[in-house]
Amino acid sequence: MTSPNKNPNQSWTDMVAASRNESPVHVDVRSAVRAELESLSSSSNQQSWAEMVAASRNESPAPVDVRYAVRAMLESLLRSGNLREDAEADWTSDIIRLFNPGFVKLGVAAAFVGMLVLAGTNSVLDSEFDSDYADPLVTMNTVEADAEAEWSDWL
Amino acid sequence: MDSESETDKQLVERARDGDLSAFDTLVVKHQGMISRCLFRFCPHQSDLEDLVQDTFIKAYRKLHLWKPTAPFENWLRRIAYNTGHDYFRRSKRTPVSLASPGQESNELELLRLEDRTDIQQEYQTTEQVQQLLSELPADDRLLLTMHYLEERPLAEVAEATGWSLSKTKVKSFRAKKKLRKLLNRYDISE
Repeated sequence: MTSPNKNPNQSWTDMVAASRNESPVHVDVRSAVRAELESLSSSSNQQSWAEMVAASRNESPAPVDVRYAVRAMLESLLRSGNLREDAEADWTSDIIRLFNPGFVKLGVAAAFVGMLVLAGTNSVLDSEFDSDYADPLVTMNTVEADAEAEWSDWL
Repeated sequence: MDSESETDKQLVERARDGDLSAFDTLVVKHQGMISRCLFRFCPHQSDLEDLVQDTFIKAYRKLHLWKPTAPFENWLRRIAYNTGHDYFRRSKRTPVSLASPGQESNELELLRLEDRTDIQQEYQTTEQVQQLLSELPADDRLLLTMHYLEERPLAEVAEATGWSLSKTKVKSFRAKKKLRKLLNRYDISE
């Protein structure tokens, strides 16, 4: 461990004496104390919410002129061709919009109507039944098939 | 025809055709109204200018969507509210300077405000109100800002946000409840 005494010839008594002669750098806490006191006084007569709202309504902004900034930005966007950038990026919000209750109800109704329409039409099995098509498995297991045909014919 | 005397509809039509000077005229005509709207959301001059600028850029991008059946001013105001809402979503929760004395955050907040040169007496209360509301979620903050500070009816809040009127009423009720809790926490009377 290194010794904190930078001067090896200096005794403890010398160090203490030297330390007593040293003085701190100038400290000014006036602004900090003032701020703290102001904070204490302002909090003691704090406004109510209604008063704050009323006072806020009376406040108005300093005049703003963004004409040149807007023009510069629009020209820059037009030059770079990025003017429609956010319109293109809107597809995500369009997808989200599809999940809103109106669209969901519409989708469910459309699906229900679709199912009704499908149920009303002839099924594949019905058409098979009406036609001359013979299902190999069905035919294979009939008694006639057992008598007349070799099962391996259907393979 | 002098561009100052042209109606919003004529100016928008010209702007849609690519005439940027017509859009300049729209900006000059409406920037005061937009800055007054957005001032309730963000009282700091530099941020406010950015928000007003964003509103007009968004408006130019969506100009093809405006229908002359509704006043251009209302349409623009709606874009401004959405810009304010985005600003609330982006801005992080900041400590409130209205904390009771002795709290650690009070001193830190004082130091922060001392460093700020742009804070002015003219918007001190709006600043305080927004610092208080910043403890709430962005939706509640938007609702309370529009309803209390901007004095907009709930129907208009619903229109601006795209929420249904009943949803807006429910959200308003809940936001007021949260605000009441917040006021109690900071010993602020209603």
